[in-house]
Amino acid sequence: MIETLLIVWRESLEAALIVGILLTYLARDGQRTGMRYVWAGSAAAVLAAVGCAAASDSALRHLDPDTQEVIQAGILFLATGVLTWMALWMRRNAKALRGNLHRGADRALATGRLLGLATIAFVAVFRECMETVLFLWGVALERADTAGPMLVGAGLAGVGLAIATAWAFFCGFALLDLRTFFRVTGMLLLLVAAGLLTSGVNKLIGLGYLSPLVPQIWNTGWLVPDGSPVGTVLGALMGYRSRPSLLEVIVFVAYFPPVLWMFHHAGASERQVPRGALQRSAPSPSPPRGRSPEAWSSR
Amino acid sequence: MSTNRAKHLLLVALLVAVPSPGTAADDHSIPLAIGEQGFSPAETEAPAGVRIRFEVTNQATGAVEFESFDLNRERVIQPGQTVNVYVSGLAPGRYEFFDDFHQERRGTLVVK
Repeated sequence: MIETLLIVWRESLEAALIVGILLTYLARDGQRTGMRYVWAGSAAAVLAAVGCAAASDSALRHLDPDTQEVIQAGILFLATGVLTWMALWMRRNAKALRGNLHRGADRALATGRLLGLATIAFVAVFRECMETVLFLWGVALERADTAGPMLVGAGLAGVGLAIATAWAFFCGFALLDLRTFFRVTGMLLLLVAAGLLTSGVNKLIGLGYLSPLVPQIWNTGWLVPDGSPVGTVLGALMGYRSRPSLLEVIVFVAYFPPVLWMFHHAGASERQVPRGALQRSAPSPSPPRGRSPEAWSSR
Repeated sequence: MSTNRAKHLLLVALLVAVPSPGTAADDHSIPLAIGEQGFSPAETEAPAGVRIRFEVTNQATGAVEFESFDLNRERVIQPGQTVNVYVSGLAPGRYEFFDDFHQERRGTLVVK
């Protein structure tokens, strides 16, 4: 029973941390609407995972196990992409909020960005949920004598523990000032994305599709063992492993230069649009169709 | 170039740059079974420097996770399924693996 709880706790931790980062950021930014979308995405993911597992329990067994693993790697890569995009959007959005610009284009895109928030919560929660549900399914099958409700209870307690862990983790963030807070959470999201990317690569190495280059480039197990509490949180948060292959290290490190460049670029493009642009441009009697106000004023 | 396009290109470049693994015939295969009693065999050997293919079969009634901190691998296996887990170029030593869902089930790989 305890093992079930601990396993579900560990499996759910990653999803809880990702959702936690999103919610903490949005709460601090005063975006209640965004938070609702994150909750909706998470709830949808739980329902989808339970539904999928229930409907296809037998079907999954017929699906080639390597294909299942490749699909999981694909979901990890998708999550990397969505997380990166969201981190960039948050960076752009923070400046726009402070500038208090009311641009029609932004409002039109706002819904899309909210859906992006929901998507990322969905992807993060769905993956872990599927694994957890399948695990609990298996446990229920092999311990047919144990009462079902007790197992479900242990599983729910594990999820609760994960949420509590994430909550405690982010409580300390309330002490930071606004600027530092946004910087730290943005960086955290990028670290999570890099970790997901590395985990996907690890899966492909285990499948034999990629060569590790050098199998175990170092061993930091003396400092942070994989199974320790710190190791578990770091592993869930950013894919920390004590004995990574060279390819995984390269992928993790190589993720940052292009993304940080895009981060910097996202900040720079905000400054190029003059704030008074809307007031300065005199609207013509018949504005050209399909052109936004900024296009009128840009020469 | 859009953000997604750049990421796709980076991924393709990585895949192209990485040398393809050796043929299946060169692999050292290790059939492993996980059951109620644990791993069988519980201890297995392999030569250093080759690519190892664990052929892990789940003979238990529930899902298992073939995991190893020493080998940096984790793979969930449904009952009745057999999966291949590859590890290559290991230095001599002892490498422990276990079933993450039932941690009393443990095994060791000895690389000589």
